[in-house]
This record gives sequence, structure tokens and C-alpha cells, in this order.
Amino acid sequence: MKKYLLTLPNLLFVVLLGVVIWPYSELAKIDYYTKNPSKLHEPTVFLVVLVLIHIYYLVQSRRNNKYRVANDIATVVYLLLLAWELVTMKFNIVSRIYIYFPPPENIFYVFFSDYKEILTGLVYSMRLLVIGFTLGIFLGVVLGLVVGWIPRLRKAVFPIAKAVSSVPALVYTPYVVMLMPSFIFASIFVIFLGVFWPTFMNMINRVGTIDHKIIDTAKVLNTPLHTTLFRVILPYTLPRIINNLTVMISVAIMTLTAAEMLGSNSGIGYFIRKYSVMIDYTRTIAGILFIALVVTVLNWLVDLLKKKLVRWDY
Amino acid sequence: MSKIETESKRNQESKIAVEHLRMEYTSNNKNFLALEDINLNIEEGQFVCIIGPSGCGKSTLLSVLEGLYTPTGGDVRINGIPVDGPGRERAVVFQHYSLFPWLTAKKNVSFSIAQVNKNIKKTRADEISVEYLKKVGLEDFIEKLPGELSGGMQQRVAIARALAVSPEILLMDEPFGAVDAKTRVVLQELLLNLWESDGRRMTVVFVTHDIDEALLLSDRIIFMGPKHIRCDIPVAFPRPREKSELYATEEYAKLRVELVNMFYDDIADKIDIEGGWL
Ligand SMILES: Nc1ncnc2c1ncn2[C@@H]1O[C@H](COP(=O)(O)OP(=O)(O)O)[C@@H](O)[C@H]1O
Ligand SMILES: [Mg+2]
Repeated sequence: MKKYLLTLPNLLFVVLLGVVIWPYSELAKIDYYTKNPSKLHEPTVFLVVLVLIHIYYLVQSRRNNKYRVANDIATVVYLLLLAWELVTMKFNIVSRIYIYFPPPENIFYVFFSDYKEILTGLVYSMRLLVIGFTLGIFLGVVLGLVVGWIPRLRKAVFPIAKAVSSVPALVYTPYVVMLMPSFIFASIFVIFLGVFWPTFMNMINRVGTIDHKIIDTAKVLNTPLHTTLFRVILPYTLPRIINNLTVMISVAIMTLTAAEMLGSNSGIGYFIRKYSVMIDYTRTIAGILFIALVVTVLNWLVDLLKKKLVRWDY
Repeated sequence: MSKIETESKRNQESKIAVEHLRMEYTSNNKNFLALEDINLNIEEGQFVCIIGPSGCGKSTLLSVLEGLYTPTGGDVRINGIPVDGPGRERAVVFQHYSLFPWLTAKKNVSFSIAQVNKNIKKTRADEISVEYLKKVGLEDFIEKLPGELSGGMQQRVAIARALAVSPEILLMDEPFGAVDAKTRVVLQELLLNLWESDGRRMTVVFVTHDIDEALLLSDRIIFMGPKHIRCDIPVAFPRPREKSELYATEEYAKLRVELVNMFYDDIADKIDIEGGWL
């Protein structure tokens, strides 16, 4: 029991709580530029977030063989938060550039004060993301399967796909946004392209280099072509597809937020752009943290999917 | 030719008939002659072992029978019908565990059943699958993935998968070549029992480079040299065979010495050819 109580993260957590509750620097109360009182929020939301983080840490560190990793990660996170808190609120070291470095209390407060706008944005963005992403993965896999299977088609298409897919979707995003009749179409389309090309290419590659023993086995079992494609080659490539989903999610979020920054009126990317234009970096940073959270949750879902679908390894 | 004549021709033909078979590989614009003028007839119900140094073309011959390669010359007929790709009367066991790693033992076998019997219900295919997995002694490993099974067990699944489709011909390419010596003995006995106890008696073509294995299992040994068949040796030991009894007989010892000498002659002749022996 003692061993569990006397960990570095537990210690840092207590220190952090103490520091947050401790009255903050007089200097931080005055805005450096306007000389007006600073808009400082109550630390309640930040404290709630800290407690949530710590509960998550405690749960993770109780799991077998996760103990050390959980400790290390929690230590790093707490040290960063502590440094951030001290530098902004307590010693006011970065007060001159206060607007660029908002204190954590203010940033986490945004999740409370602006939650409606954030959630509406999330729903809006997720809709585009899910449609573009699903289409991209689905067509990439199916077309990749067929093209990869026919050697002549593969040899013709692969170099082209390679060239096209090496251009980041971000590059042609402005053009597509301009070209398309509506923003919704445009962003679905760029997400689709961003996800489709790498998936398609990967699939062609994987199918083209499939272990011939697998194909020979399918042949001697008298497996017809469509069964070979969808019940032999597809499951064979599935682990690779799922592993790539993590990367594809990042690509999709990147293209989506880039597209939203160009011409949307809602969404999580739009949220960041709007407030950074208004020089409200508190909300900008809150938006960035929120995207990180969304990506983390999506990757966690991918992991779940992987555990469910892929019981076997290469 | 009338239908009746075709029928009768089929009836007098061997189960497997190979005439003037020639097989040339083409890769990177280079040709490699792997088999030259192979002639071979295998009768229904025969257990034939093909033996010979590695690289002599045993696998190539078997691949042609499997229908994976199209010969570049000559004829190959099964039941009197020219071979054109794999067929449902043939089942194959490869040396390397060729199970689908994403399917359980049970599903691997029922997959194969479903391919030759398109209309079969899933539950029925699973039932047959379990029945055959029991026959190879895997009743406790039915829901395991190939990755969770040992090499010998995977090969048992592969045998169950081949037998579950009730093939007329079983083609095996060094099926026990990759398992340890102990497991090999167990698997040889298993195969022998399954084959001998089956009233229908499948035709088996079994590639090996193990002389004892060939003597134990076969009715006939085809001894191959590079690209050709060197000789055709009948193995007339009575069945059912019991390993310990068989080894004690004089005939066995005599035949074994003969075969071993043939192997070593071969080495003396072609010492400069690459590849390992035995
Ligand atoms: N796909 C292929 N392309 C070119 N050469 C091949 C191919 N497969 C086998 N060979 C060659 O054909 C010869 C016979 O091979 P194989 O039938 O596998 O011999 P064995 O099974 O008796 O060891 C070997 O020299 C091998 O290198
Ligand atoms: Mg071989």
C-alpha cells in the first residue's frame, strides 16, 4: 500500500493542487498592456481536469505491467502543468506576453464557458470527417484490392498513384475549396482524397507482394476469385489497414482543419481560426488541446477495433 | 468418339497419367528446364512416394499435378481428363503450414469444405470440420488460431482440411519436412492409419527425401534424379504396416540399403550440383 501512495505522480499531484489553490501573483492581476485588471478565471475547471487526470492515472497504474509507464507519463504531464502554472500565474514571468501564454486556469475554463460552441463544432466536423474518411478507406481498400490483383493494371496504376499520393492533400485544399459548389462537399472531398490515395497505394502494394503460399493455398482449395479477394486477401491485409488507420485519422483531421480554416463557418478547425484572428489565444489553445483530445479518443477507438478484428499477427 | 468409348477409355486409364511432361520456368527472360520427358502412371488407390535429392524437380512435378503450373509440354490427365488448374477431386498438403492465420482451426477446415460444396450450411460445414479435427486428434484445439498451435498441430489441421473434402487424390509435398523428428513419427503413423482404415483408399502422391518415411508409407517409390525419373521401385510390404515389425524384416533392410546406395551414387556422380541431400 505504501508503495502505491509514495509515487512521484502522487507527490506532484498534491504539489500541483497546492500551487493552484495558492493565491497568485499580484502582477498577474494587472494586464501588462491595458493596465486593466486581467480576466482571470476561478481555477475550479482546471482543478476538476487535474482530478480527472489523476483518477485516470490511478486506474492505469493499477493495471499489470502498466505501472512504470503510467508513472512516467503522469510525471511528465504534471511537471509540464506545474511549469506552466508557475510561469504564468504564480511568478508571472511571461506577463509581458501574457496574451500569448494564457494561464491553464483560463484555458480549461473555456471548456466550461464555450462548451456549446465546441460541441456544435465537434458534431459538424465529425460528420464531414466520418463521411470523407469512410469513403476514402472503403474505396481505397476495394479498388486497391482489384487493381493490386491484376498485374497489368497494377504496374500501370501504381506509379501514378505513388506520384499523386505523395502530394499532401493540404496542398490542393485551397483549390478544391474554391472549386466545389459548397464547403461541405469540398471538405468531404479533400478528406476523401487525403485518405484514399495512401490507402489505395498501400493496398496495391500489399496485394501485389502477398505471400504466394497464401494464394497457392486458396487455389488448391478451389476458391473462386471473389472469395479469394474478399475472404483471403482482404483479411490478409486487414492488420495493415487497421494499423494505417491511426495515420489516416491524423491525415483526415489535418486536411479537415486546414479546409475549415479556409472557408467554413463551424467546426473545430473553424473555432481555432476564428479566435486566433481575434487574438484570443486562450480559446485558440483550448481548441488545439481539444483537437488533441479528439484524435486521442479516435486512436483509442482504432485500438479497440484492432483488438476486436485482428486476433492474429504476422 | 462416342460417349461410351470415352467412358471406356477413362476406365482403362490410370488415375493419374503423365506423358512426356516437360516443365520449363521462365523468370526474368531466363528459361530454366526443371523437368524433361516425365512419364508416369499412378493407379487408383496407390500410395506413391516421390524421392530424390533437393532441386531435382519433385515440387515442380507435384505443382503440375496440383494444377498450379501449366506444363510447357506433354500431357497430364487425371481420371482421363487433361488437368486444367486445381480440381475438387484433388487435395493438397504443403510443407509449410498453409493455414489461413486469421481463421481458427475449425474455420480453416470448414472454409475448405465450403469451397467444394457451395450450398452447404455453415453449421453443417463446422460439424464436418470438427469431425475431421477429432480424427487427427485435435478435439481440444478446435477454436485455436494457427499461431497458437505448434508446427505439428498446424500440419494436423492441414491434413484434416485436405481429408475433409473427401478427395480422390491426396498430394503432399514434404508434409512432415518441417517438424521435429518425434512429431514426424507420430504424424506418419497418423497418416498411415487414416489412409489404411479408410475403405475407399485414396490415391496418394507423397514427396519426401526421407527413405524410411517412403518405405513405411508407400506401395511404390519413384526415385528422381535431376529433371527425370531414375527408377520406379515397388514396395510390397504387407498392410496394415506396423513400424516396429516392418523394421525387423530382412526385406526392409535389403531395400533400404539399396535405396541408400542409390542416394550416395547420386552424390558421387553429381557432387558439383548445389543443394543438400537427405
Ligand atoms: N518458380 C520457379 N522459377 C524458376 N525456377 C524454379 C522455380 N521453382 C523451382 N525452380 C527451380 O527448379 C528446380 C526444381 O525445383 P523443385 O521442383 O522445387 O525441386 P525439389 O522440390 O525437388 O527440391 C530447382 O533448380 C529450382 O531452382
Ligand atoms: Mg521441394
